[in-house]
Amino acid sequence: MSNEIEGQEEFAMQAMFGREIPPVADDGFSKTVLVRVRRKIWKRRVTLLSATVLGLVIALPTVGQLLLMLSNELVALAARAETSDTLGQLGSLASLLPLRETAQIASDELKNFSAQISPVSWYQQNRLLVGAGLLSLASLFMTHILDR
Amino acid sequence: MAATDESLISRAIVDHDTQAFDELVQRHQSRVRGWLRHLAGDPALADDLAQETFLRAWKKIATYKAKGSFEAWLLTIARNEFLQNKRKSGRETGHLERLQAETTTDNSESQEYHGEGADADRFLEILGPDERDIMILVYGIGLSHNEASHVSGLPLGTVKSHVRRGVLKVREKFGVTGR
Repeated sequence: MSNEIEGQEEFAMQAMFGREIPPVADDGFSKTVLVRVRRKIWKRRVTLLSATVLGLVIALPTVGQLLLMLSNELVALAARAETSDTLGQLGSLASLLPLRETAQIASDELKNFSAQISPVSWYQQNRLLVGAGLLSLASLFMTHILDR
Repeated sequence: MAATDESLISRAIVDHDTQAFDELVQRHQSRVRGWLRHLAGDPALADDLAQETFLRAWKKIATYKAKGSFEAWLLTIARNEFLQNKRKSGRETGHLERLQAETTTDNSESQEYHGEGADADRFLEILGPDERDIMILVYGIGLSHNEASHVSGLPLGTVKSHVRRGVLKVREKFGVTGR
């Protein structure tokens, strides 16, 4: 009996408060929303595409310059490595010396070799260029993420 | 058989399916617009806010977590849109003003009102602003207490006490006992 009264009270409450939120006819509302959603999607696509094209136009010369510089550096390093013939020397040493000493010599050679590369000084010389190149690559990545 | 909200949401998220989203808009526009009309007190403004609500929902749909109903999620966005608009425009009209006017209603008016009997159009006046919103969310829209808590931004305990007090007030004034 109590449950029945509670149920009827619940029903009466729903009827009373339901009147405060009467049903609203669509009347083209959902169509308007859909048009706006589609327009928004297109706007976003156009904006992202324009930003990507603009970014590429700005970034390409810098990235090209950066790649050219890196390839020159690599060619120079390869030439230096060839003249010093470190690997060949290590190979012949390995056949004569125990493994531990060979490893020690290899490690020293590697240190000398990396000292020749001196990435810190190279970076300091081309800091702006590296920054620009990295930013360009990051912007492409960000564009991709935003698009998703 | 009609697709469930969940499957439409998943299509909207995964395939960016605008048709699926359109179906969701058609399903829920009535409640969202009704809720905003209640909050704003101006159907034109409410419809503008409802459009913004659905645009925001489209933008944020990937963040929807199926903890509560999709409708409760939409109503939460709608309320935030309303509050944002109120802050932006600095308007003192609409919901806030009506609520303020109602809280200053003196006792004699209440007595007079009581004497007139149960006027269905004015029954909400016996409730406080938050109580009214909560009662509409729970009884008018049919949200759970938890969902009403999310939509209103009030703690669950407060929502429960608003419902309890609201029911008592309505019962006391109008004798809603199911007779």
